[in-house]
Amino acid sequence: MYSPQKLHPISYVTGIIEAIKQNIVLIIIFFVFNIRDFDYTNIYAYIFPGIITIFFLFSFIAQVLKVYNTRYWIENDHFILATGIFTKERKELNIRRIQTLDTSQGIVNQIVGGVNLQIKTPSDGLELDTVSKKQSDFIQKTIKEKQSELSFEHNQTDNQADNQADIQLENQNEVSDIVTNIQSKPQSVSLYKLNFKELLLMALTSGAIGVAFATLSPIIGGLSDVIPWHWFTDEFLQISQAISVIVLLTISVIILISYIVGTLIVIIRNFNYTVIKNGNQLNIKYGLFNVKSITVPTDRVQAVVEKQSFLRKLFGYTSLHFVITSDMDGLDGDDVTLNGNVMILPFIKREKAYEIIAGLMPNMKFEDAKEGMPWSGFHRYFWQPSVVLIIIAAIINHFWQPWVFLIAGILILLLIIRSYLVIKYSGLKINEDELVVRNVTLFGFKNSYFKQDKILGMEVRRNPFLIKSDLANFNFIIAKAAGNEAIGLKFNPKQHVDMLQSWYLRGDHHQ
Amino acid sequence: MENDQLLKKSPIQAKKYYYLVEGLEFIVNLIVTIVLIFLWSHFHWWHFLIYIFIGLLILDLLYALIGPWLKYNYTYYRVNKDYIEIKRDFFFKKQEIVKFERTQFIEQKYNPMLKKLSLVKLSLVTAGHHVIFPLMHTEDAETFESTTFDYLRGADFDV
Repeated sequence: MYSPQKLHPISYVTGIIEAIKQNIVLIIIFFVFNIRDFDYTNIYAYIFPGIITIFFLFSFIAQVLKVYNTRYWIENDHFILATGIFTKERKELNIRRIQTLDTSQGIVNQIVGGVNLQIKTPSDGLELDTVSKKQSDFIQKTIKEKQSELSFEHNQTDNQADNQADIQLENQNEVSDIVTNIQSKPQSVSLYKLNFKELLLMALTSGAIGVAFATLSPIIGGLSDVIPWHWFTDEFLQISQAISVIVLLTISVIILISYIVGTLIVIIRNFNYTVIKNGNQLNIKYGLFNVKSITVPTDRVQAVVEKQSFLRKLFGYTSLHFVITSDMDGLDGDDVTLNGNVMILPFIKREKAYEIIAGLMPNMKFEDAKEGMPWSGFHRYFWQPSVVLIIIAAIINHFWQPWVFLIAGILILLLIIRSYLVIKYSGLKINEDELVVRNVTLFGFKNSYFKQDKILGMEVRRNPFLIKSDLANFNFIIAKAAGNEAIGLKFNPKQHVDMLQSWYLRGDHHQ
Repeated sequence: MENDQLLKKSPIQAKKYYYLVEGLEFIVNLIVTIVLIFLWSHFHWWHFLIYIFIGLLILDLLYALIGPWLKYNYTYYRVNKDYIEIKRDFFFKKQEIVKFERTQFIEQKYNPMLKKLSLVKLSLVTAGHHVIFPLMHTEDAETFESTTFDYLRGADFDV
């Protein structure tokens, strides 16, 4: 570890995938538009694929050289990653500041035993793509050892928890006990495990049907020439001759398939979801093909957000998320901690969720919001989109179909129902230095709990109409990932907003 | 500072600056529209387009005339003991409040024109967002900076 190390050879395979990803647009253009009537005898027809191949080769060679040139090692108290072909890049992370070591393992990596390791400090991080599983365990072990060594030297207690690890939970977290024995060793507690029954129920109520539909429909559209539609329609023709029935049946079959696919996607993604508390860090591990292991430091939590869809409310289940900060961006699109919204408990009975979370965040109270908003805001939630809908419907109606008004009418009705729900069920409550805001979103309820000292700023918006009816919109800005999240409510009584403002400004300075 | 409690407008030079910028933008748009109209007549585009071009140009002219005035007259800021407040007070009223203790850094931006008018674009950056002040006088900006940093000096806020 103290001498420069190379990446795992599998990284070259990842390099190919990366190169394909970079040229995906060109490749798709080629396959979709050119392959069908490709003239193999015409020499000029090879120009375009030739260009694509050259591009591809360039980026592939660049990737290979990059992987080949990448080295990492530990020097004094820094973890160093050096990479780059022409412009050398060198990143040094202070080991004492390293907060999380996240791994993710795609399906290729699972077969060959590779791991994508991300090392993060509060401000920056680096990614080792890909190292072998053994190497990754070794790196983690070494960093932890080094950390405890350093914190021992400096008599620091800040990072204590970082240095702690548990042997049973994951062998990757083994720590030489010589140093750690001296410090008090927090136990790692298994907080939550998603069993299969719950996972199934979660997948069935997940609303992933939309995602599946969105992914499936372009595929179906793209393959519509290939799909033997007449088999399909012939089957239905035996049931009914009416076109409308056939169309309805086809749509319902597509929706059914989307539902099944969506359910499967959710099951695969959240398979074996485990949450382990480890000092002041949470260790979350999930996934069937792409196994992810992420670490969330609970002391960086800016807000706790409960999201509960309407459907899950019927069953009494809910999900809890943490809003956390991170200052780096763009390591990896799949990184769940980077967008700042980390799911902690994906599917759990509400009371049990709050039991667990109260143990995790002992300084927060998690009181329920006082529900109910003034009725003078009722029509404001839906009239603007309704007008827009009617105008669009009128335009379409003029040029094309008369029944769009029916669709517009249904949408407006839904908007009105939603406004009713918003008025009835959103609200807020202040409890000393904690605020809870309950929003009704498009598909469910969202409770956000946060402390006054986590607020970055406040925004109040009004316009003459709102002033006339003595209403105001407010937003509190909370840090989230490298950006922010606005949490607020629309159409509040002005006094409430004034009260919130003075609550925010009153703040005891925690010095 | 006794006038801390008052809402402040940008200094009067700001109006001049806004008009200058809007005027320049209008000239650019005018040139673009003229080119478009030339293309329209040259290539015999759809006849109705001319009304759209002219309509857009008139809107732009109106905006160039009224926009700066609104911007100048309806934007306020206030620096209080431990927080700042920025208000846009025309039709869509927006009030932003940020406490000093959240400050990560303060950014000053200026260009030659602003420098000549001794104005500065100041924005306060926190861990997650930034608030942009209305154009400020350079001296005000400096006072503001020093008060903020005085406030922050020795403090240990978790921003």
